[in-house]
Amino acid sequence: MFFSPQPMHIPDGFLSVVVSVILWIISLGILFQAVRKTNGTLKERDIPLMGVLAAAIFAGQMLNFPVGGGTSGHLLGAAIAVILLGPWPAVLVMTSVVAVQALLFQDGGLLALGGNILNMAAAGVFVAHFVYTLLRRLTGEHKWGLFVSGFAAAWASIFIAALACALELALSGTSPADVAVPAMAAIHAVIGIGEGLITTGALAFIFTARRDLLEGNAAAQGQKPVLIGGALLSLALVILSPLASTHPDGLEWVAEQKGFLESARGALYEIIPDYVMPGISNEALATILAGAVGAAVVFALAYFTARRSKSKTA
Amino acid sequence: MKGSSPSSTLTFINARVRLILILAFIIGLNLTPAGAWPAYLLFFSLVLSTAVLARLKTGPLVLKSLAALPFSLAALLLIFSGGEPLLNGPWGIRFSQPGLVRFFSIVIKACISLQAALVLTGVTPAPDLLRALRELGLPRVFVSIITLMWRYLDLLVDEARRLLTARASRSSHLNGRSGGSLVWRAQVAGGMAGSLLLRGMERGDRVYAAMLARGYNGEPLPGAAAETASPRQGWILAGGLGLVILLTIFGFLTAARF
Repeated sequence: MFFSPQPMHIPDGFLSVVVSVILWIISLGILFQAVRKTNGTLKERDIPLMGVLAAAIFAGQMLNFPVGGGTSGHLLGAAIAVILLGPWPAVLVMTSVVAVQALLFQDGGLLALGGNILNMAAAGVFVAHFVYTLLRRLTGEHKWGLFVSGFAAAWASIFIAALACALELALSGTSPADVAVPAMAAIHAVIGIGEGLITTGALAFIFTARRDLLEGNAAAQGQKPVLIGGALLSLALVILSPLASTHPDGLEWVAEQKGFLESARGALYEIIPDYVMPGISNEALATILAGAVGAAVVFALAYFTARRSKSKTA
Repeated sequence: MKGSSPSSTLTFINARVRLILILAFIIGLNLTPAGAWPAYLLFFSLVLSTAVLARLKTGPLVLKSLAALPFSLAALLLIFSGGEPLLNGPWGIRFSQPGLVRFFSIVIKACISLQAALVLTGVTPAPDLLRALRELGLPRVFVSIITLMWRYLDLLVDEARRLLTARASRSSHLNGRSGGSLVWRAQVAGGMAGSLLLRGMERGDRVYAAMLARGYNGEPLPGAAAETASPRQGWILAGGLGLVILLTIFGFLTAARF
């Protein structure tokens, strides 16, 4: 089950609220940028194309192949989306896939959706774009260059997305960085090979059937800011991850700083009994609150039940 | 697989209000500190009573929410790390008590959050949810893409199933072992993915041609009429948010202290 499609969809509960909100803000920024960029270059046939392609990638994630030991390899699809569409449309398509999985199939949390979009739809796409463009330029016009670039881009997209995921979990204080980051990296360095092989297979098929789709599209769209962004992102994550795992104290320090809510909670204990309501202990306050909450629940239940029976008889 | 029973109650609450309330519920639950067991119980009972009111089956709801459990492997290490005090387990394993509390809090929160999300999709058909997203200010281009994706999802999932069936019926197993080399198997799956994507792109072109024939001019898809925001919806929203805030404060007050 842990090796089901992508062990990378973070459910709710595993990211702290502060981290989730920050990740949401970042990915919303990227998303609006993607909408702005694609609005400029979008030909009118592109909206239906992106919609159907998002559905195809969602369905393509069902395709698997046996690896052994009961596990199987799957496709995430960020790299193939970049190769077919270019970076910004690929961000939109992958975001649609991840968002529909969270909203309608509960694959990944709603609060954690910002982080999941950032890992799989932004980081994965940008890194794949950077690796693919770079390697395509290096390998020139050779046919094998296409497959090598595709394989490397797919592997990098999985690896970097996993690193981002592990760092987010460590920042939330969910898993200790010194063990979790190397573990995630090692697992996904292997899973990435599966992604790379499937992507290469898909590229081989498309190369035979519709060669025109692979020529010039993503490579010609090698927009500098995106390329630099992808390069910086992969560099930062690759450098940051070993640092985080060898110096977990640094991450813990951030987690402490961010954990001001905990200290605020301590302050709440101090303030309420002593100053605001002298003589009332925590237990009493908690009981009163519990009573209020319980009453509200009962009231709501009664209200909705009454509404229901009313609408039934009406 | 998709859609939901339209007969469910709670539909008199706006889809938009429902989405905000469920999000607020998940945020409040996750803000609650570790070890606030009584608060978790109240959050859980709130989800369950909402499910009962919505005429959703509670058993399958709780069972489905266990899908979050495999991911808890990521938090498992908490049990063995963290500061004092430590508990001595069998075979010389040492458990960290704060780590245990945090681990179980995370797992419980994950399950209850998942139940809340399941209630949302249980009472809200996908088109309503997508409309609510647009009303909440998501760019129309993006909502158009998701709407089209949703419309063609079943078709392409069926296509993927047919591909899997075709491969299975052409393959044979010997003592549970799969044939060919790993690379070859991956290439076969890759070819299937490639053909699926190509069919998707070609279908996208046909869809575009069909839309063009019906007067599509590149504008994002027109959505259904917006739901009216009556004052009563405002009251429901305020009441729900207040309840979540109360529950969260209760959680802060009852959390186990270490």
